[in-house]
Amino acid sequence: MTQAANEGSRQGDEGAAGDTLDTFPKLLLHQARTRPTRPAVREKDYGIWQAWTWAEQADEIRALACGLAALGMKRGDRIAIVGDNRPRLYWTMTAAQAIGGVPVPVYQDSVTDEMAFVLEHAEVRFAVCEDQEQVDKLLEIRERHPGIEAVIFDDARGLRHYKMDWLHDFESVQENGRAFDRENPDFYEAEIAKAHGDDTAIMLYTSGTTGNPKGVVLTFDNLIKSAEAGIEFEGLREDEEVLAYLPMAWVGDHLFSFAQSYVAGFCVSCPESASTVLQDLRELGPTYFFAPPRIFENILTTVMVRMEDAGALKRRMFHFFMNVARRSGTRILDGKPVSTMDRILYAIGKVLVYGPLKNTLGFSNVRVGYTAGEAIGPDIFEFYRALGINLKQLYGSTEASVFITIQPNGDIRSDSVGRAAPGVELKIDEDTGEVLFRGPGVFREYYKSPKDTQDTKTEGGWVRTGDAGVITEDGHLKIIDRAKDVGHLDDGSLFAPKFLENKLKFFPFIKEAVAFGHKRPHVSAFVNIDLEAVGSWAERNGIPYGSYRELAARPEVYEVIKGNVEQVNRDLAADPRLCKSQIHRFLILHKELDADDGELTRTRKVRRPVVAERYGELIDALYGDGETGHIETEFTYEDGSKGHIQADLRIERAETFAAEAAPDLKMAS
Amino acid sequence: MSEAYADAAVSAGAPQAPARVFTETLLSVDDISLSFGGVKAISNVSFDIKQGEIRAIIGPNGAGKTSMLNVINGFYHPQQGRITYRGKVRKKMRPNEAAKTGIARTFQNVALFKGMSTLDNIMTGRLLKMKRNFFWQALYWGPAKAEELQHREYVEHIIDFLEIQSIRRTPVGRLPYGLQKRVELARALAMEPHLLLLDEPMAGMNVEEKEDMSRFILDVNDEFGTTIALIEHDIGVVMDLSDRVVVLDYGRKLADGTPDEVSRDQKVIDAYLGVPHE
Amino acid sequence: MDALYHVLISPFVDMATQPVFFAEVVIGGLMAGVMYALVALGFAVIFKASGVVNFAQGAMVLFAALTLVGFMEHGLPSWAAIPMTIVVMIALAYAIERVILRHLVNQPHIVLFMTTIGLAFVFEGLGELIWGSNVKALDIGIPDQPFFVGGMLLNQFEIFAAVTAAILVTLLVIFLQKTAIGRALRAVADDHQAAQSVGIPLQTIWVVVWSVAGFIALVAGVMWGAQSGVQFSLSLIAFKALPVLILGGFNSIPGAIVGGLIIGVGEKVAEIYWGPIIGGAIENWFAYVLAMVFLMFRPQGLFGEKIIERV
Repeated sequence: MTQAANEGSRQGDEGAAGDTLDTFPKLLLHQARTRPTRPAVREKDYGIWQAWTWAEQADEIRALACGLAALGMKRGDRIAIVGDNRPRLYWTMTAAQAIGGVPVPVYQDSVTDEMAFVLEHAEVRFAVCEDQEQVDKLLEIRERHPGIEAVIFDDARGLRHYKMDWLHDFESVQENGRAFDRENPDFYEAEIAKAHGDDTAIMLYTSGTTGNPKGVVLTFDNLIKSAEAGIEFEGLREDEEVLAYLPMAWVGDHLFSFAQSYVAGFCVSCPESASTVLQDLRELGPTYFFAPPRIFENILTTVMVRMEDAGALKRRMFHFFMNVARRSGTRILDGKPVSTMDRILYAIGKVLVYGPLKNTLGFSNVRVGYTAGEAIGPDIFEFYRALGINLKQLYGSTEASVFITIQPNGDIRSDSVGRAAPGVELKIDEDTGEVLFRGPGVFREYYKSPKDTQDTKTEGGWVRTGDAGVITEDGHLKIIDRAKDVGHLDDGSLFAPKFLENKLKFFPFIKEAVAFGHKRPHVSAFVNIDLEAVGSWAERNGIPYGSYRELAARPEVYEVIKGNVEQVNRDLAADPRLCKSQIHRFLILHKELDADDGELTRTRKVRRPVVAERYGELIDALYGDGETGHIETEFTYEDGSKGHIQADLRIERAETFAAEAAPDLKMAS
Repeated sequence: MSEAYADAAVSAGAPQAPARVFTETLLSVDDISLSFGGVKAISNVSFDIKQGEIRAIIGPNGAGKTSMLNVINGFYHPQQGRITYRGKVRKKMRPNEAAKTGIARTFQNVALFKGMSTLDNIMTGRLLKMKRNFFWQALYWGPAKAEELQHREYVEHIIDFLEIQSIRRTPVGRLPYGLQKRVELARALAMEPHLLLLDEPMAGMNVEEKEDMSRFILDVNDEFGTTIALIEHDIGVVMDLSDRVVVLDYGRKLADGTPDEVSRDQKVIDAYLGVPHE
Repeated sequence: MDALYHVLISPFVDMATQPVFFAEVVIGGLMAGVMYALVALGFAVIFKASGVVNFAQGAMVLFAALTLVGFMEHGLPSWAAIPMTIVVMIALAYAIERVILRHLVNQPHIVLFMTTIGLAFVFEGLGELIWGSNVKALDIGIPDQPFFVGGMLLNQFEIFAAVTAAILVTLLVIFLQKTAIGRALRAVADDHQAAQSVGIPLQTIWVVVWSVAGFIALVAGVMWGAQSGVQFSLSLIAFKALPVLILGGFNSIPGAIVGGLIIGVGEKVAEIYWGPIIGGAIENWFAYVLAMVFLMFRPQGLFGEKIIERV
């Protein structure tokens, strides 16, 4: 239990809200009592950060809750929340919970059909929208789904001519709520006292990999216990600064920007608009920060581009000190030994490079940074850690109320997602390699989908993640692939194509890779080179080429890619379970895999069946003993017409390595 | 965006464009002629702009559209004719005097203060609203400073309205063209004009930017009730946006009426609409 | 060999062996530089707002100094004479706008430039007509005692001049960057048409700009006049300001200051250490050589466009 929660249980008895702080409305009352003047939420509006204290926030929520009740909201009713991160939308969550309602945040950028599905499935009676854009979607949905009784909007702009009687201004709802509160002064607190930890707190819809979105039902206990565990694990305090900029419908935002704020009492800040997030980040300087790898990648790219444009002196200084940082920054962060010279250089670099850089990025104050959602490139991860930012990987899911594993301070590796989070147990399904977990955050059910619930929540409370992974001897989890994509080599050992492909793609010269091995004697791969990166390297080294195809066939290029593949093999050899997955043979494709040819999806994911069919001859050649493979393919020109290419591609053998069983055994003993 | 607006308007039962009726005349030009060294740019043109409407001025290149705006806003002084504005016949006046009477404008090729930030550019639109005289402002002291803050607040509302928060501090010279046009509109709005003249507000924009700009123009008209006169080449945009259209050709008025009427006018079809436009 | 030694080596040996003297030379140069900068500032302000090189700035310095001296000769104390002179300069700015600038709107810059040359002669003539052509001493009570710091001989007057210049620059930057009228001024400098369309009256802005330039001329005039007497050669310091502007960038306030300092120091050091070799009088042309060399490498001046945005 955290300190905040302990204080609460001591003081809770005098409050009308009940004796334990087991729901968010109760936590709200508690925070408004114990830290009434500390900021609870901030929003940048008209160029200024406007803040609400816990007491003010509690007032606003009370007015809204009573207003919702006045509109006819009953216990158990569901209310949709649609929009960017705004204080009022966060208040709606607590206000609904206070009178027994269930908030259903919806991804604000989803198209009308997707949104309609969620609203219908959740049978929402009420909705709170940010602005006209969202109200318009609701209008359309309401024609098909008349069950929506009232829509409340935050920003009135452009809605002046909308005269529907079921459309309400946020402020007028609160005003009616205040009047309702005056007439029924005991209503609000009595309603709050009715709820308990095992009641439904929220429904979060996840897209899932197949079929329609599923409504994950989470209880107050799920969220509050997970939030507490995270707070304790990272030592979060009431003075953390957090920027809430990720979708409110995402479980991560709900836990970091809502649940943990209510438990620890820290302030959450909402950016001015989606396009100002990076500036707001810089102004705010958060101490606790989370972002998907994509964002870290984009920021890094911007930094690199700007550095290339900078003066020669600045550029040289940057590269020199970044090398110092890569050598010693991470080790310093992890408290490992570093030579005195490097310590001095790192200190100088801190003044000249790292400090100013972190400041422009808004990372100066970050104590805990999380990244999650997908694999982050080791270079990117190391870059931020080398700067001295405590960036950590996290593995989680909506069904777990976020935390499944976290990387503990001082024990961080770029290729693992950390150890089981506090209170969480992990296991791997022997047959499929799938990761299973159980813990305090495990969801109650998928709303109205008992079959899905049963499939996911298996016997003994273990929950399937759908991801395949391995647990190392010292308890670190490595996610290797989606479980359904994992296959087996002829000898029965695990084969995770995406894991291998990602490892290859982390090299700057490799743009795309396709690994083969299911029901084969060993693993082999296709590689697509990155024309831009390899092209500029070729130019610098005086290697002539006229086209992608010529470049791809250059022996020098093969040599470099071979080095990359062998590096991957060396890494794989270190892990007894993945040792067999080493890539024995590979070839560089003569054309880029292309979405226009159906080889990739529009989001640039490899379509394995298409590739397997079109390049069947080449796959056969990879598993033959020849030095080349012949291929004839059809391709599409920019203008849509078709052409044919014939090619003989060189097949290269890569060195493989013996399993490094010894060090692992040592660690186990 | 503009489609979404239209859809919403339909389903919400909001009034459709033809339903808008305007009675009070804000500005009328009567029998205006303007020539430069013997070359006639405008000959005997008369039309009016009603309070609250969106009025389009269209015509082929060289039809005298921009000259007309320049006459209204005081850059050019017509040799003949008169301008009645808010019920009074207007004297010959300079652009800054026209601005004082509540006429704001944007320019075909974006005339921003390139070295200044977005915020400073928009703040210049507030100069006329500042009550303290130059002396106090020069001292930047006491009441002048307080007033500055008050104007800043107004400007922030416009920044919010036009969704340009992210470029508040960026020197406008560095902005892409579409955003520069938006900043220019913001600067004009900061003047709280009665009449807003827009010279090809969507020139050089891609489809998405045009949709955004159309939405902003409609919103400005709707939220602030600003009367707008605009020159535009994109006929589709003109038909969607405007309440009434006046068509000029070789400096003469060819037609005047609702978009519907104008587009059915044979003279207009011959002179202009028949010609494929970009 | 010997000549090379004298040009390339011996001056540096002298600097190194007599550091106190060298420091004195540099400080003397800095002080002269402050004076140049004061004149250059007047140019920069007008150029920034209108794109015109005001050739008459030197003559304005002279005129301002003459006017001040004239008032004081008529028995006014300096605390009254200075505001009076400011009023005269403002009236002059107003007259210039009324009589000249108003009629030249939208004319090419060269026309305006020629006009300012004419103006220069008008000022000189006017000054002579009203106040006579004798060299006059100007004493408004600026302390002028020499004193020693670390073995160096300094003069209170020089310190006073430097502080005045610093205050003036700070005021100017605040005025241009922070005030509404400064913003209007920058707007006019950027785009006349747009400025008019937001309601900025060009006429008023011209008056303000020329008044500011007049005020700066007065400050420069007081400093120069107090140092070397008010005489007609004052108007020639305009020619010193040109290389300063080339060096610093025509429309940059900090450029005017830094350019002035560089030229002041460069000139003094060259005069003292290399002057004897070449035969003296380097001071008269050194600034131009420096500016010309500079033009080759950085035509936009030290503080190019980028800095201007932030000034």
